[in-house]
Amino acid sequence: MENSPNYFDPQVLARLEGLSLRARRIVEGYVAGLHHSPYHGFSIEFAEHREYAPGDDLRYLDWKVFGRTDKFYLKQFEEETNLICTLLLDVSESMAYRGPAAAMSKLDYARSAAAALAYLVLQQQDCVGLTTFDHQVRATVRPGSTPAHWKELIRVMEESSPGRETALAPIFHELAERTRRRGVVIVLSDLFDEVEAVLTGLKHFRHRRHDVILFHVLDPAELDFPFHDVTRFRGLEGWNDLVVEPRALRQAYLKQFENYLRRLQQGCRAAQIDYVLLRTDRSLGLALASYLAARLRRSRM
Amino acid sequence: MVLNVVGDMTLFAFAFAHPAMLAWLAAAAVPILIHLWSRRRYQETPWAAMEYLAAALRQRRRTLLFEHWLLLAIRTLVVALVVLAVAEPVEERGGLAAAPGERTHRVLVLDGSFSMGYTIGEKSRFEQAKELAARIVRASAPGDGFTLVLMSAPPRIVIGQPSLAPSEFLREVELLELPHSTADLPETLRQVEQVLLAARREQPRLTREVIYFVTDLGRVGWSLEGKDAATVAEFRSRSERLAEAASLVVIDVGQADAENVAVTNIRSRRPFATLTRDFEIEATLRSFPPRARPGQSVELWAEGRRVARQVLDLPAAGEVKIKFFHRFESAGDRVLEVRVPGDALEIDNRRWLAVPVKASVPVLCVEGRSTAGAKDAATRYLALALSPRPEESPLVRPEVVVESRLPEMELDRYECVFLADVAQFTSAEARLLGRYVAHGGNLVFFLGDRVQAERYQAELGKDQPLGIRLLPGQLGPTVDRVETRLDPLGYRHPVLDAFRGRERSGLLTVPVLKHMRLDLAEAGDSPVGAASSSAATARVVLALASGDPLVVEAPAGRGRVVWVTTSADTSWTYLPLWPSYVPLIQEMLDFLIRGQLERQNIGVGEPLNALLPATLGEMSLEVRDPRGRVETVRSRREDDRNAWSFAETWISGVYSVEAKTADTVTSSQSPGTDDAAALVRPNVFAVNVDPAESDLTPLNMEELRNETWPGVPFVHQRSWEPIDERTLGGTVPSNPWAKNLLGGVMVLLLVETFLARRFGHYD
Repeated sequence: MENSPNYFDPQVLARLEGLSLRARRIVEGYVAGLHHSPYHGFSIEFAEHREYAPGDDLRYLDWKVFGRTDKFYLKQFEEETNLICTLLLDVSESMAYRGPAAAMSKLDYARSAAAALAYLVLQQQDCVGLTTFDHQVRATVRPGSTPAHWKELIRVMEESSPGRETALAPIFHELAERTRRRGVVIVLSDLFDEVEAVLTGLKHFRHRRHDVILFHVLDPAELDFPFHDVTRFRGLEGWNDLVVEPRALRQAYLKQFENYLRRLQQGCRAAQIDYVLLRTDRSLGLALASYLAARLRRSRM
Repeated sequence: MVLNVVGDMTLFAFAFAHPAMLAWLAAAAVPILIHLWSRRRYQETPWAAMEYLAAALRQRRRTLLFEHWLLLAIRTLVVALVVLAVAEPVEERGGLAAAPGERTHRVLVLDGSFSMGYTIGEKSRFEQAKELAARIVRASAPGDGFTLVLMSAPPRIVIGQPSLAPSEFLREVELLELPHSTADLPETLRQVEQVLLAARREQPRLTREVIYFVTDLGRVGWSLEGKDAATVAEFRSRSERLAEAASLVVIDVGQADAENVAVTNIRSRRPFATLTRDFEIEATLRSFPPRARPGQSVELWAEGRRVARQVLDLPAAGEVKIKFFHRFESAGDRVLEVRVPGDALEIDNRRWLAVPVKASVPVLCVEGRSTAGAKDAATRYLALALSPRPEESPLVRPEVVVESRLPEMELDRYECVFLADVAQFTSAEARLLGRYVAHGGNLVFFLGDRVQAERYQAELGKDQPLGIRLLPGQLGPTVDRVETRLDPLGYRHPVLDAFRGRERSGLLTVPVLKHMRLDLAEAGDSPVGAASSSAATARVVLALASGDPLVVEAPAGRGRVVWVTTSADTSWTYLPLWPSYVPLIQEMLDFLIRGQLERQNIGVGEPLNALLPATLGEMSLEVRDPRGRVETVRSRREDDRNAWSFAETWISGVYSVEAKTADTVTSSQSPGTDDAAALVRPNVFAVNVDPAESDLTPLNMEELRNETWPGVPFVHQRSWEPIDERTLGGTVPSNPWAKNLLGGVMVLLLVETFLARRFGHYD
């Protein structure tokens, strides 16, 4: 066992080829068996209509409404199926950042986390869906629970490349409107956007009675600002470049960033959104396991 | 390079020991260049959390700018201060380089020899020296101490304790007058060392010492030629000691080609003048350097007016003697002055001779054998010799008294007392005679059959009050042997001066039938004790062929004593019958009286002194110097003497003395003030310069460096100019400015580190 690799070390995880393998390693290592669906045994009832969006299952098209209004509406039901988990993966340009101390970019780390979570959910015979987005929805995999669905999830995630700037609030609003069936919404993003707008978007999910879990993926460099020499910071997502002396700005930056995190965390707490900070230099498995363990403890109380 | 900072009416400036190092000040731009370069050379990274970085930058922009400039300023200053420290800044006030915090004791030695009176243009060398001294003082740093020594002979410490008030010191310098003396360099250096030693004790904060010699480097003062080996050795070792502790700066104000004509001597053959005869004086003129000067005018002045003028040609040898004759119109103390028209050095163009003009010369003859005027009187021939032509209202009027009247005589009235064949003297008589001589009287003893040698020895051979010993040797026994040849001993004694070259005057062929031995060599073995000053300085004027002294002269007190070892009449010798007798007695009298003339004509720096009649008691006298300034001195009575003295004879010329009219005479038996004034004699003194100083030839640098101060470091300047005193002798402390600058660098580095860390520019 001494020679077996530590799959929770991001450095080791990064060397593993393939998101599928990474996810399995993470789940099989620590997370497996921890989760029990809080939604098991619910019956299905009609809830409401909503407008069709690309990727929606055509089986739920209400052809009667189509006949009356010449518009596509989906019938939405209170499902009696098991847990439906929706993964919202931020693939904006900022997620491509990988600091000097990190083994992988935030996007890679988020993908790994998303894959692990999807694998975990599928292991429990629950359904899991995926939406990638930057300032708009880039790809959507509707919830499913088959092995083929798993492969589809992995494919979409692996093919997702960093896009453009983020616009989280509209995206969240749109997805909240679209995801009518109660479930678990897991957001994986660096959330570099206006805090209030982000929180408003997330609250929209809560308004839809989703259980929202926010995995805030950050690079250690963004948290610690470890730069020394004069550096030209090339702005991502449309920001202008800045040439600064990091040592002189470090305290001010950290203060600004902590303020941002505090506001975000306080907003999540107020909205009963689970906030989980994922540092890309820390073990993903440990982070997920500790969060899930805590969640399990909370659900049993 | 000089940096000037003006503030509080004081001009501070800095000079640098290594000014070339200041080029490195350009390195002060290095921190700025590094800053600019570092801004151009950066690493690059993509950044996602740009919103928060931009917010931090917005928040800190002004502060960052200030911090950057502050740190840049400190770093630039550090480099600049290091460069300045390496360049070794020294404070310069008008040119004097000295390190800060260091106080200097500046000893200003001004040459006080009268050659400093040499004047080219409007200012004499001495005036120039004073101006240089003032410049040095004004250029000195606050806190420096100043002392002032006048290099004269003897030297004078004008300000001995370091003066810390430049203005007061300059006032003293301004008031300083050039004395008319020579310069005594060895003694001056001794005094300077004393001043420095005292200052080190009393002003220990004056850590640096600089001695300025402002001088014309006159050969007389600065050459060691003619000085004894011990003096030279002591001088050189003292010079080396001083040079180790202090910086020596010689500022030369002389001119190498200076010429001068001086009256170097003035003398008279007779010791006094009379109202009936012309008084003859002889003056000596000399040119320096020696060269012919045709048409040189010489004037004789008396009583404030010119009485004679001659024009003569100075020969190539540069020296000529000239005679003047003058008849005085009234008795008293008078002054003759020989003057040559002015040249660049006025002081030695005039020379004075104080002359007592006498209407009569009172002389007392004490007859020891018979009644006065008797044919067998011992003083018979003597009185005649003193006044050979009594019918022509003679100047010398001898008063003859028998020896028994001696105690009652007021001896101070007589210029000279002759004692002939007096058998013996009582102790009271011996004291009387001793007091008389101490007061300036003159005694001439003639012997004879009545003389009791042992009694003479007992009373006159012992010390009298005031240390006077009248008999300068061992007297007796009587030698009854005819001697017909006399030995003039080379005519060395002034008494025989008139006989020189006149062997046929009969002086050498006088038959002496008897004489009494006077053994001067045994004087020291006398039972009285050690030889007195009179015995030690006794001179044989005339000797017998056998070698026994016939005439002996010895100074005693302020007067003189002459012993003639034979008789004054023909009982022991045929001298009174010989043609040389009268001139011998007259010359003897002249010589004895000349003492007064000598006391009235002295050199610069020698004290005026005289005695007052004891009956006057202590009294105040006013001494008027050649500039007309009046000083009051008071006479002091000691052991029956009533003496006064005045030492401040720094200026050549005529000094007059008179009783202070308002003075209260302390003695109840004293005469009135008018009488007292009349009794102040002499009342005129002539003070003349040493003619050696008239030679203006300066010592050249080689002589100064090789002979006067071999191996002694000093700086020679033709005119005062700033010097870096640290390059001279003495303990050179480290440069406090440089130290302070480096200290400042250390502080700035600490501040920079602290600020950079505080500003977040360092981890």
